[in-house]
This record gives sequence, structure tokens and C-alpha cells, in this order.
Amino acid sequence: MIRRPGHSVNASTRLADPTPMPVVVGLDLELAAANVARFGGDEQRFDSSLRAGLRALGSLPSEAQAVQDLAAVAAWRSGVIGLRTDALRALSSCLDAGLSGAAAATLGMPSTDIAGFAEGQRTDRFFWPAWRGLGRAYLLARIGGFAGLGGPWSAHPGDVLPVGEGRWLVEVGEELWEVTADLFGHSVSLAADDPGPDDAAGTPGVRVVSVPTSYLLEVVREAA
Amino acid sequence: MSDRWQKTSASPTVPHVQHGGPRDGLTAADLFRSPDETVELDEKLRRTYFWLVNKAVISPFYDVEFDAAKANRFPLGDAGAEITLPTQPAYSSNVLLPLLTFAVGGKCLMIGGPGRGKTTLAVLMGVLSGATPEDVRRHLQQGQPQLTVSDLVGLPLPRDLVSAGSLAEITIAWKSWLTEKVKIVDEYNRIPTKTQSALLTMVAEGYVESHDQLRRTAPEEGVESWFFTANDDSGGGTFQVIQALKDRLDVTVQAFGFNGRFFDELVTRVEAGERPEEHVPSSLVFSPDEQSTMLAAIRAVPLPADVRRKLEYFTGQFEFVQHGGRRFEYRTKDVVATAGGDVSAVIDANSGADLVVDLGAQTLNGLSVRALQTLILYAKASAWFRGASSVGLDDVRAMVPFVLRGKLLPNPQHPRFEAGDKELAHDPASWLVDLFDTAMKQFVALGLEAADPVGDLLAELGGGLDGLDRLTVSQRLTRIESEVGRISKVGKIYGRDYDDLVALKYLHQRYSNYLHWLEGA
Repeated sequence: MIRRPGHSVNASTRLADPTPMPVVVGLDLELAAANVARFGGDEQRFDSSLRAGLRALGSLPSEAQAVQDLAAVAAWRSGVIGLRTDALRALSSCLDAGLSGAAAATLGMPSTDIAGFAEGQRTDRFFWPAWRGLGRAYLLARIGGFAGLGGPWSAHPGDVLPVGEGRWLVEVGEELWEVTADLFGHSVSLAADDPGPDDAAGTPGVRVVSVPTSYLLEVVREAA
Repeated sequence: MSDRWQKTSASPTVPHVQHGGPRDGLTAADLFRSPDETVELDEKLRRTYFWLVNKAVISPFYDVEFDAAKANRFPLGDAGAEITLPTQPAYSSNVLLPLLTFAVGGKCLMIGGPGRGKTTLAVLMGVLSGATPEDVRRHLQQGQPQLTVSDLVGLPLPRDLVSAGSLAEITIAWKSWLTEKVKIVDEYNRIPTKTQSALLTMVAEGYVESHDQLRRTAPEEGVESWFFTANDDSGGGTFQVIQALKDRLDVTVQAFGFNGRFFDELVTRVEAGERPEEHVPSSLVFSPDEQSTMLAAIRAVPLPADVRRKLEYFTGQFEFVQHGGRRFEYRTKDVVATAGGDVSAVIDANSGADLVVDLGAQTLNGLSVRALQTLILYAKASAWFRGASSVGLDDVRAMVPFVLRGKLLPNPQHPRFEAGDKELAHDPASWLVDLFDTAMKQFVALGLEAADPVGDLLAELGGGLDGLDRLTVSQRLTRIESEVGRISKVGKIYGRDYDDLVALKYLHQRYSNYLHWLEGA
């Protein structure tokens, strides 16, 4: 079996949802879906997440801003890591506006967990309520991969060095790559000449491991 | 029918070195923004390039390559030819260089036989600057043997010529092309010498003069660029091009012929009666603000110290000639040339150095500061165009043959142009790349990547003299003398040593003058 990059949080979710996307005046949701793919997310997952959120709303809110916030959360949920900061802001706005049910549906969790999730994500970018108290080590994500299978690398990833919260530098052949990851998504790019200030704290409790038998890196939560 | 012209490349046009999209900085609003609204200027320039090369001029010649070491090579025929298949994007020089010229506000000479798309490309540059195809064609200056200065710049009004009491009272009807952002001079080697001089003033100084009156030729907004065409680059044409005008041209690029495998497009154009300049997609036109922003962004691309050092090494090879003069500082090709000497013979008289190793022996001259500035600017433009955050050695290497063509002149008596490499004598672009590659190999072989004592000494001085005590200054003077002594002991001297020695003498002067001042105080 060929392993592919992906995030464990998506392992048990179902995407099939044939209903058409509702029309929201002032917002082009098809364009948003195309942009999700452009920004590295999963267009189908975005579609599914946003529809779940809009369905939970019942009727569409009068202001497009609420839908835009839900779309940001859905895009983050579908793997657009570049939206992480703004999606957390949008999530907070949804909770303040009493749209916790819609936000929870967008993220794919019970509405009772949503406030804890928002709080947990402030301090731990890999926090997911269902995994709370697992105690054992578990896989958070697989990242990278062989260029011939659609990944970024044509050499085996070597040493991994944490350089900040959710950021690691990886030696791949003669090149240095930077990996950024959170619960839902990741970004892999050639490291800049100056990858920025080192954050010695890194990501507490999370390790990125280079596996000898694979070009994929494994992001692992260490046992508590 | 015109729809087929409107298709531009989808973004991103550079290879994916990013998997998973941007790592931060996106907002919810970005989700609802069309990619065309958010296209960066470098991406827009790349899309323009691909439109030009795929739609407008059909140029499948990918001769500007950026990964020479990794490319697959296939030998062809029995005369040493080979074709390379690069793994990184390669570009067509006869489109890329005019486009970079448009971006940096430079001056580009396109050479080649008739019917190779030189004028079409120049006209397209004018349309990209926002002018209409009709205006660009109307403002195009067609070189011809009867072209006068007045034809070029404008005429004094006849009424004023009769009634004016002084030159200041004569109104000049300046030609409107003078202030166009993109200026095109077709077949510039057919222009009479006197008119070429007027052109030189415009190109070099940015103004024209007629009847004691001046007019600035820079456009009121945007960036000015010049495009010249010629069917000869070796002094032919109706009139020999004056050297000063030639020197002002930033890059020279060869126009390629038509590839017969792309005949279908040619047939379509004949049937439709279409001209590419009439179908430039509006999304590829650069506003004056965009042109200014683009130039500022290109200038801001950093040139890393390691690339700069290698560039220093390369350019330092060419000024020195061992028997050019008596004093060390005067041992240059320029001293020989300005005294009417035969540089080639002087190079040949140097029996102390290995002519094959001495890269400087391959050229009849050194490089002007203008040429070096141009090389830096175009290397920055290349890096910016490719989406790089800083200039790489590949960018410099890619620009060398186009910037230095006609500026670094080959020494035809050198053994490099004999035996199996005779083709280099009439292929200056390949020769210049060969020269650069050889210099880079020498740089590594000499261990200069690891150690640069002269650079270290210059950096020390760059820290300033303020507060240095006598002991420190004396120590540094000793290190300078020691370095001069080390070079002196080698016995042979090359261009690379000339620059180092001149720099060491400069350092010695700065420190010894400071020491005198300290002792006097």
C-alpha cells in the first residue's frame, strides 16, 4: 500500500453531500472553493464542511459576514493552514454571535465541544477534543512524500529541527525545507535563506519523525 | 476568432516548490478574491512572457537555462553539438530579454536577419506599456540613410524661423514619440552618423536639443525602455554604429528563425489576417504605476555576498595585461588601447602566464562600470522574474551572454578560438558563458569559496577607523603587506591578482594615512 500525506483528524470523516451549495448574496462560494484548492486545501472537504455549517444554521443569516466567517473556518478545516490565524478569529466571532452549532458542524464535532476546541487551539495547534486524555502516543499527520508520487521530495528526508511553534526545518538531500503544520493542514516549501528566529519552545509534546522506509514525515503526539 | 489570443497562462507559472499553499497570512476575504485580482507583478510578468512566447511570436527556443549541472545532455552529430533537457524552466532569450528590458527600463538591441519577429516583439513591448498598436507603429522610428535629426526630434515652426529675434523665440514642434514609455528604433545601423549622435544624446542623457532648446525624453510617468533592431552586429549596415551609442545598449539578443514544426499557427494567422499586437490581453498591460512598482521591486532583490564575490572574481579577470605599462597600476588593456597599441600583441608577449589559464587573455578589453551595473540589474530582474527571493549565480550566468555581448570583446588570436573551438569566434553568447563557467571552476579550484583574505581585510576597514589604536592599525598593515608578499612570491600574475593588489594598496594607504594622523595627533 502506498501511504499518502494526510491528517489523522480526517480519517473517519465522510464527504459525500450531493445537495447544491446555497446561494449567498454577495459571496461567490464556488470561487471560494476554487481558492481553497489554490491555497492547498481540499475543495471537496471545504464544500462538505461549509454545507454542514450552513445546514446547521437553518436559515441563512442576513449578513454575509457570518457566512464568510464560516467559510474561513471550513477552509481551515479543509487544510488551508495559511488561514489558521484568521479562522481562529472567525471561529471566535461565530461563538460570540451565537453560531456555535454551525461552527461545530463546520468543523465536524458535537456542539458541546466547540468552546473547548476554540480554547484548546489557542495553546495547542494540534488539539482535537476527541483525542483528549488518550494517554498514548498517536499519529497526527503524514507530510511530504516522494516527488514521483506527487510529493515535494526526490531524496529521503533527513534530520528534522524544530524552529518554532508548528514549524520544522528538514534536510532533504542538499536542500533545506520548511514544514509548517497544524491539526488540519500543512505547508512544505524550500526554506528561506533566513528561516526566521528560532523558537526554542517549538511545539510541546509533538515530534516530527523521519521514517527510514518512507519519504513521508510523521507528525506524532508523544505519550503524555 | 480573437478569443484564442485572450487565453493567458494559469497561475502559478513557476514550479511548485510549495506544497500545501501559503503557510500564513491568508484571510477570509482572500477566499472570495479572484486569482486575477491578487496576481503579483512578477506573476503577471511571467504570464506575459508565456503569452508572448506561446501566442504572439511562436518562439520554441529555450536557450536560457538555469540548472546546467542537472540537465540531461544528448550528443548530436559529429561536431561536438549537444542538446540539453533541463529539469528547471528554461526561457527563450529573444523574448525574455526584451521583456526584462521593459521591466527594468533598459535598452535592448535585437539582431538577426529579416522576418524574425524583432520589430513585432518591440511593438508588443509598446502595447504592454499601455499604448495602442496604432500609436506604437506611428511612433516607431524607421532607420534609413536619409533620416535627419529633424526627422527624429521635430522641426522648428517655419513662422518662428522668419519672425523670431533669437533662438529662444523659436518654437520646436517636438515629435510625440520622444516621450513615449517604449521607444523603438528599427534598423538603427541604417541611420546616418550625425543623426546617431542626436540619438545618443537621447539614450545617454535623456534629452534632445534643437535650435538651442531642450526637451526631456523621459515619460511623465512609468518607466522608459528602448528597443533597437539591426540585421548586423559586426559593424555592417548602411552606416557603422558609433561606439558610444553601442555602449549604451544594455543587452543584445539574437532573434531566432521560425521553427517549421509550428506552421499550423502561421497558416491560421494568414487565414485570419491577424497581428499579435492587436490582440494583447488587457490583463497583461502594465499601468505606469505597475511599471514603477515593478522596477522598484527588481532593484530591491538582494545580491547575496557569495554571489557577489564570484561576480567580483569573474569581472576582475579582464582589465589587467602584464605588459600594458611600466607602473603596476598602468598595466591594463585600456592603457594599451588608448595609446593606439595592439592589445592582442601585448597579451601574446606575456610569456610568464599560461594563456589557457589566464581568462583575461581571451579578451581585448575590460568591463565598464556601466556594463557591470547593467549585469547586476538584469541578474536581479532574472531572479525576480523567476520568483526567487535573491539573486542566484544562475541568474548572473544567464544574463552574462546578453549583457556582455559587444562589451567584452574576444581576442581572436587566443588559442581558445582555434582548433576544436572555432565556432566560439562567431558565437559570442556561447563564448561568454564558457568564460563565466571556466571562471567559476577556477574559483572553486583555487579554494576561494573558503578563504578570502582580501575580502576580510576590506570588511575590517568597512567597520570604520574610528577608535582604532596604533597597535591595531600596525597589525593590519602587517597583514596587508604579508598578503601582498604572498602574491608576489607566486611569480605569475593574473587579472584576479591585479584587482586584489590594487585593493591591498588602497587598504595600505587608508591605514597608513590614519596611522600618520594618529602619530601627528
